[in-house]
Amino acid sequence: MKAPAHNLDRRVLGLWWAASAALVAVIAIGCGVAWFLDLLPPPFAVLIVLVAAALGGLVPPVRYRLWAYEIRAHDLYTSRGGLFVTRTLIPFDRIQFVETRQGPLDRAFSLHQLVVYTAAGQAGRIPGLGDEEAGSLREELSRVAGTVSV
Amino acid sequence: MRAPSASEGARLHPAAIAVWFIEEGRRLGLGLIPLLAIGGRVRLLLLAGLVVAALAPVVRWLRFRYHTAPGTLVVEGGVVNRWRRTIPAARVQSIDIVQKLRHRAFGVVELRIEVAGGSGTEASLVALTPQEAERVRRSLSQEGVAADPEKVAAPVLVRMTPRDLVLAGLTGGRVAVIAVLLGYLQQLAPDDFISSGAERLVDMGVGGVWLVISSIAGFIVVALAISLGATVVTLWDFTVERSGDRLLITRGLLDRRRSQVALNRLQAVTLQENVLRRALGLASVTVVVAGRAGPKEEQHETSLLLPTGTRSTAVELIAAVLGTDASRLTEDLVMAPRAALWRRLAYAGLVATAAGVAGVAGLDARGAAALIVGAPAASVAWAAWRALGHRVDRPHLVVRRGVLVRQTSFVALPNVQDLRLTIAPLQRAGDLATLVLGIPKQRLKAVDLERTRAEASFEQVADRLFTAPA
Repeated sequence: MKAPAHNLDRRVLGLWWAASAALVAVIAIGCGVAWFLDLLPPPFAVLIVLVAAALGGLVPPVRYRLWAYEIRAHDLYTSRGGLFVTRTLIPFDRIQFVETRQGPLDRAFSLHQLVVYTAAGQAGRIPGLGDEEAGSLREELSRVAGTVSV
Repeated sequence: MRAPSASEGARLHPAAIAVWFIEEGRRLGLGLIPLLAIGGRVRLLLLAGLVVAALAPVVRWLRFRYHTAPGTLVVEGGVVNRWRRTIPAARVQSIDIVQKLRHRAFGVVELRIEVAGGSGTEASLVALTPQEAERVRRSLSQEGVAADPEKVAAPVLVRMTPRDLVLAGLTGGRVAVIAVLLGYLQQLAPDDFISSGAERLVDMGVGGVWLVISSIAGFIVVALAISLGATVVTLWDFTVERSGDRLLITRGLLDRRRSQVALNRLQAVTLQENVLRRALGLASVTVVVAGRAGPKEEQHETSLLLPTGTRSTAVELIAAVLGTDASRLTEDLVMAPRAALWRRLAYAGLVATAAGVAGVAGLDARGAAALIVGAPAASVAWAAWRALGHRVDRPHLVVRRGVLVRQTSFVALPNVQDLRLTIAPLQRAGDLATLVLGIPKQRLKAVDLERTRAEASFEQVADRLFTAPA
């Protein structure tokens, strides 16, 4: 099955790296404390932090490359993940409503998340969309959203 | 034209005051009663609180009004914050008429109305005379006044006799779990384990043996009695009638309940076979209705369509409810490929290894005997693999899975809201994928399909979804 056509906004890479950096910082603090309390030999502590930092640096680009979405003729198609792959298809006529969201990190990078709801609940989420893209997607999906009653 | 105003609507039966008082009292009062013993000012404060608690339902009753207009129900109330809710009949998912003991004491019933997507009951008219409840129900069902369901002979789809209920209780979930555990213990324990244990007990004398036997027997009897009692009381006189395009489900000995669900509001129907029932050729049937809320323990019961019956009765019932041919429903399910078995065996191996390692670490080399959990784990893996099955190229999609409780779910295509295809690392190795059908309140998983088949189905179902008549 063909991968969806569109990639996310490149700025989402920065966002993910920022999130990774925060996580690595937390791990580093944890390891530091463990070292201080003699719970962890220094080489191990350093190794853990290095591995975490390496993963934190390498995962976002891979994730970015594997994240794709596309508005097709009758549905919204998204695909994400390498280790755990998830593809989602949401037919337009099943969409109940669409919203764009912005958390503090999103705002720092001027990005939006688009969330699509069907009667089954939250059916899809696209992170890392620019201002215009998020707005136009929301408008378009709301326009084609279905009137099928549950 | 003026919008229908609830202010000119009716009040609930005055028994509502008592019902609210009892409900609120149960929540607040019981915990406070011991404090009365403290005396002094605390007691005074508590008494004041009690007076307020007694008055609040009166004010609530004075403010609460409802009004039916063709196609809508308007409810209005609120003591501090006034609220008013209009419920269009077209959005109603289900209507329940409930008569708990507190209602029975006053000869009234409660009418509950559920709307899709709500987190709770959208409207609850806690005390109505049975005639008035029936009138409101009919008005919301947009039935003509003449079509009194009490008089029109509705075809009865299910009627449980007390004997059926006893059977249901004896084969219910709780009992099935116990039966399985006992069966496993019997198979697991090596012969000498039992005999050496028995020898030790013999040393204790006849008393020891009787102690063990009677405690096990006692445990089983109590579990059976609880399951049986609960089943018979809550499902007493369980009846499913079909009235036009809706189902009427009646049940209960102490708390009477009458639920009404339009057939086109059924999101999915599930054939449930726990281990015990499957061995006896029995099954039960549940339905998924959007917007059905309420306490967790009530949800299972309210979704019940057949407490227990032979498997063929159950399948016939499902076919009748879905309006399709029974023979085509459960036949020719696509079985999971062999790779799915290997995936499950891999997990079983993992469990056994972990148990062995833990055993050796915790004890000594003899701890490796813990590896024996690999045997039941492998048999569970095999059973889980055998249970897998699906069929998504027909008007009704079928998904089957489950070891302890084998669940076969049937969904009409228009009820599928969204689709997912997921591939986990071990699935990739075996060229497997899982297809997830999103329906209101539930996501049905067709686990471990051949990957190419899953991908093809993903596309095909998506296409059919859009063109499906709404």
